[in-house]
Amino acid sequence: MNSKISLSNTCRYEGCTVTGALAVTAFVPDGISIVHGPSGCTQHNVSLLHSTLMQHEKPSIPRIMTTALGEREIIFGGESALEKAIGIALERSPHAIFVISTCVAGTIGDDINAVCAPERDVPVIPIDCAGFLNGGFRQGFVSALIGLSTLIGPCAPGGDAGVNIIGERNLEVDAEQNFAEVERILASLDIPVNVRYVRNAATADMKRFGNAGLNLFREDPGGLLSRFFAQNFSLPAICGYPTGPQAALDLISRLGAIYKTDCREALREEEAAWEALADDFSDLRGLAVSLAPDPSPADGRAARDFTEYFGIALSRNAPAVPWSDPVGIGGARRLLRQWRRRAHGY
Amino acid sequence: MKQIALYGKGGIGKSTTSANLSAALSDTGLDIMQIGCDPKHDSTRMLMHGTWIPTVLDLVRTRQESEISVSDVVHTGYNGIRCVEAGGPEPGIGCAGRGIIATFQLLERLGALYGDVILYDVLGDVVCGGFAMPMREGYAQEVYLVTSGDLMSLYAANNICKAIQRLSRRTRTTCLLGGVICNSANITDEKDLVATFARRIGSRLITFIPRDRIVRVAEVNRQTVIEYAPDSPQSDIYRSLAEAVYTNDMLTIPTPMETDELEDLALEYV
Ligand SMILES: Nc1ncnc2c1ncn2[C@@H]1O[C@H](COP(=O)(O)OP(=O)(O)O)[C@@H](O)[C@H]1O
Ligand SMILES: [Mg+2]
Repeated sequence: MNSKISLSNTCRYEGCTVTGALAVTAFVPDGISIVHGPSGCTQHNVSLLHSTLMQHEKPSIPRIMTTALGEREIIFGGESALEKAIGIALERSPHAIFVISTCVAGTIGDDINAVCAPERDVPVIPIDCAGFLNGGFRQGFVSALIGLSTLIGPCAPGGDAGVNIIGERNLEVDAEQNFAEVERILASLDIPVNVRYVRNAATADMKRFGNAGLNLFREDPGGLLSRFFAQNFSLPAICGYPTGPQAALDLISRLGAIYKTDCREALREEEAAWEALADDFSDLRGLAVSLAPDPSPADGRAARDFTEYFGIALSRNAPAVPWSDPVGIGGARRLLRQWRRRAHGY
Repeated sequence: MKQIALYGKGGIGKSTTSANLSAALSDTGLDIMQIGCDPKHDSTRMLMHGTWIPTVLDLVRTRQESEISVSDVVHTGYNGIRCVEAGGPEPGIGCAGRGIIATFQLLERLGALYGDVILYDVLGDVVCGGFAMPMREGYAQEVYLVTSGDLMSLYAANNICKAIQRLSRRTRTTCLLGGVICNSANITDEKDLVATFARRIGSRLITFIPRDRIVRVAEVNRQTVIEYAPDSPQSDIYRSLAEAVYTNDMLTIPTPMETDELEDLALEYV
């Protein structure tokens, strides 16, 4: 039973479950997402996606439909409205259809799995997003990543076509820059990216998922994602983008071990790059700051290592600077620039 | 205007009792309306001489609301009684409770709720908020529980008491328990048992209705007992029920029994 009192639980991952699912499905360019609920659920989410994507360099307008449930569908059931919407979606020739249920569809007990089940020209994938079932944004996000795994083709054992990047935070402004950081590290070991699961990946791309030699998860707080992919696709896994120099070096070492390549050169280059960054920001040495928002316990260690490396002291009463687990050198540079502006006013 | 609701376990005899009660009240010259609030939609069938009238939700399903008029939903039956059936979704899909709410809102907007007595015949396992709608402000002020001496039907009646009690805590609710109607299942000492139950929940037995073959005979003739056999003893019973309900001024907030208390009570009468 969900006994949460909502106000004390409003943090970034406890938003709408539907938003979480759309943060995945809307990034499949040849797919259509159907939100099975009142039109407001769709309107609200589409406008949020729209305003978020406007901040990105190349905004693309994802295809999202609503089944527009009204009182009539609530009383008599919304399954035929969903069937109709799937029919309309099929006419637009997508390569996959994602059916995202909402609170109200869950309340009246519409069986979206049954409606999606019949064989059609393209996969129709149900994603249960009744938010009242204890889930929020993160739950919808994870459910969508798991649901879309039916698009993945059979695994080629011993594949080494590169690394799958799983669960990028698509709504984040820095998503592309963060990815570039990881891609840079992989390139230093001559490892290519295989599939970005799911960021602007067409359904055909996802078929290649199984050719990879490793799954790299953007993050996996509850371990739910890595467990699922471990059970279903026997690929080695690494969880979390690297924050700070030590995490970056660790990542290189682990990649070296998994891909059985000599990583000493890459480690040296990475170390040198971080030292250069520290030089660039030597004016911040001796500064005392507090972090806002407070890093989560999991991030706490990374935050301490990070500030220590740059000779910055953490002190509860010092002026607050933003903290957002910066990814790699690029993320560190952007964050340190913000801190410099706070500290010196330029 | 007096608005009353009959609640009770499925198959216990709510519709039979409601229709005969409406018929008996209407015979005294009162203007009566009966609203069936059960997806089974057979509440008013005997008043309509066996005709299945279109339900409100059938109309809601097939038409725009602006195209629905009073004459589409309200049908005149025995002695001018205005009959309405809420209806419901197909079994196993949708939300019947929301259907009851929608029905009430539509009747309200159409201005169809009027008369000397409005009688709501409601499905008795109060499964969700929608089926408590007739008890809300502006609708029934009196609830009558229809039960036999069978434990399961007492159990259902007791649950309805819980709903009444809960609603009575709301400042603007005016719905109270009017009493218990025993529709006999030919159980030994049934009248005593149900009377005791009624006392224990802080109410009283209004009428004991015997089980009588004439009910089924009238039914196959598509009539209420009042219409089919006005001179039968069973009709006298329904008329005395009508009198008791119409003049009833003993309304209480019930005190539902604990389940084991209820079981103990039933055990005493086995
Ligand atoms: N007092 C009675 N004597 C004989 N049969 C009865 C009596 N009351 C109800 N019945 C029969 O019981 C059946 C169910 O009654 P009904 O009124 O439809 O129950 P409900 O509306 O509670 O589901 C009907 O077939 C009816 O003929
Ligand atoms: Mg009935």
